[in-house]
Amino acid sequence: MHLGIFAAEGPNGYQLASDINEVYWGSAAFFVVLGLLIWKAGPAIVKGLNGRTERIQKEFDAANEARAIAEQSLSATSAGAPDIGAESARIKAEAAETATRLRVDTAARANAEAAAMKERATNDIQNQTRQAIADLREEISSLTRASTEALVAERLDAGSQSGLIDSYISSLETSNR
Amino acid sequence: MSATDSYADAILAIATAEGDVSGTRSELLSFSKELQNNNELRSTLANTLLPADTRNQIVDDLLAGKASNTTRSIIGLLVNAGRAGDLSQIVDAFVGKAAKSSGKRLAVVRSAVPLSADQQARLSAALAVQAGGPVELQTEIDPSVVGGVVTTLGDIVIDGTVRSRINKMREAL
Repeated sequence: MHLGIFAAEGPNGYQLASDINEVYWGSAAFFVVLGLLIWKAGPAIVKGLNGRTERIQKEFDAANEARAIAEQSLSATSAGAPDIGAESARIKAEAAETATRLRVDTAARANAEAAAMKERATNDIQNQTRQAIADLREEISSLTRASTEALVAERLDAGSQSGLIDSYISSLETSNR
Repeated sequence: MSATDSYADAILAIATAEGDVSGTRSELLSFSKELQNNNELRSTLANTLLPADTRNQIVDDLLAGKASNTTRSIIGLLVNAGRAGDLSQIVDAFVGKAAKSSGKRLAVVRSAVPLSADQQARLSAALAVQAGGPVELQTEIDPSVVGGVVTTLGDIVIDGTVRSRINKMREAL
């Protein structure tokens, strides 16, 4: 607006000569408006800027806090690194011990099973031998009994038979006394 | 009461009425043993598809001159009733009832040769002491005992046979 005012030319060819009052009034209005703006909008602008500053500060603080936590974690991880190595060694040792124990156990079990199988086989052979002997003895005994019975029956005459019966009755009579 | 007991009671009643329980018992036991040892005879007499007259004729032929009319009638009755297969059990039940009715305990005596009258009397007296009362002997000839005697008195078996001695000797071997 001022530029427009100063650019305007008067009828006498001099600029601003006849409109100096407009310049004064225009300037005064400008400053009034400027003052109003500063008076009314200034606090809001300042408040907004302050809020933005606070927000940025908070974000900055949060970032710093996150950084601190990350650094703390990093330091803790770095500090725990030797324990991981020890744990790894311990697990390896334990695995080796377990493997050794399993190997020993498996060998012992296999040996025990082999011994048991051998014992069973030995027992089976012994049982079969005993059974064969028993069968043979039974067979011989049966044959002996049959032949003995036949022989005794042939040798027992009427007198012997009667004697056996008398002997039986006598033993009953004796046991009754 | 089972059918076996019913028949045994009937036989005892008939034998008692005829006054020859002992003789009937002896003849029935002989026939029962014969039947047990002869599968063909047992299956023939038990075969109800055969006419009753045929089966009766077989019984008559077998017992002619060997058994009293009472015994033949009893066996004929059992065969006609289709009880030939149960005859042994019926006879055993009859023998038990007969002994019981006479107030005596039954002693079954098996030997390879018959016992003399004197031996029977001595044995009966000796067994009476064992049984604690009078005993009725039921003697059976059984060649399988070889020699000696085996007596069954209720649940008691008194074995004095040569066969048992041979068995003991065999077990000792």
